[in-house]
Amino acid sequence: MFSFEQDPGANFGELLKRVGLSPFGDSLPVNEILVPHATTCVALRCANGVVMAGDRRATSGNLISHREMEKVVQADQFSGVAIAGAAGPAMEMVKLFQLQIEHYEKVEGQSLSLEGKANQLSMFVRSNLPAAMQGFMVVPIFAGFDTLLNHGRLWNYDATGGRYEEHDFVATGSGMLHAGTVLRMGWKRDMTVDEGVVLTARALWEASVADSATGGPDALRGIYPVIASITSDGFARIDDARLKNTYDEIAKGVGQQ
Amino acid sequence: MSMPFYVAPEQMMKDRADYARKGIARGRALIALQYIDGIALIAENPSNTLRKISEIYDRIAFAGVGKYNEFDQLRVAGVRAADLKGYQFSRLDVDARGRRPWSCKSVCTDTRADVYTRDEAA
Repeated sequence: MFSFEQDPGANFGELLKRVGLSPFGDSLPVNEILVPHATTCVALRCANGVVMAGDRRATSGNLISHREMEKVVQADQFSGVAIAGAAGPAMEMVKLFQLQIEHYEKVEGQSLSLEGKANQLSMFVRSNLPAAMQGFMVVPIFAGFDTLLNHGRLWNYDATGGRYEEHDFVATGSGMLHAGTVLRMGWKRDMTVDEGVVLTARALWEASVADSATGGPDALRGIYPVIASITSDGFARIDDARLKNTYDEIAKGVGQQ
Repeated sequence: MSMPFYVAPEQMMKDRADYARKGIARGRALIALQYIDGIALIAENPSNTLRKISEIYDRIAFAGVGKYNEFDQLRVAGVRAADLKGYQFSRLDVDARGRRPWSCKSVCTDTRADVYTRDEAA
């Protein structure tokens, strides 16, 4: 019934494993290494651009590996990337993407179109597919102000490099369900940037309440999510003092203070 | 079998350098000057599509006159060397000085030497 090497001998537990009936999961395959993971990021379109936001927590399994990770990163003057997934490959991908945009602009003498940048990022995500199959998935959001069309645009990606343009809002990462629901309830056409900042802050708050891998505002340490607006004036990060006030207001509203 | 005339290597190099200088002398004026806060590059450029001054890196610029494809080749070599070094190490490590294998100047100098001394028959 079993080859010499496969014979479980008198070990019933091993026998169950051999016939596929083990009540306990197999031990972790060697390729599933615990690496820091970045979580919830959101972006929405408003009247004169886009707002992007990401929490600051990175986790390794059930441990918090980093409290101050910056998942919303400026790609160039009019665009930004937000990343969820394995932190190492994600940061490397963002670094390479920033360099690609800059390198193209210098060599060609003009910058890539926003759509061109979105396509380029799609190729980077696709090239990460073998690593994604081993658990190191990177799923970014790309958003920016399209200077040719004169409005903000958003793109969502999947692990295979699939690129999907979203018109209203997008959420990614482990808290995407909760954050996405808040955005769906609160988003309206032609929001101002200020309204967008409050809504994304609220979306991350709700995600952090329900999802252990998403970090909430940490008033004790003065750590707040990274929220940035991208308009015809370019990429601008919202400062922590303003986010503190925003979260104070949210906390009052939900009776937490 | 043809028997080429003997030309001394020094003469050949001088002829090539003179040839290049004549080509550059026909180019429009380009000025690079240092001032208290930095460096200014000014070039006369009647073309809308060809660029004489461009960025190499954060604090490195390039300007050239002469045969366009040749100075563009230098410029792109400089951009590539600078971006590769910045990616591999840090943006702070990229400079325009020195003869280290990765420096922009080194790549530009080597490429320029190549342009000057290329054997056309090869």
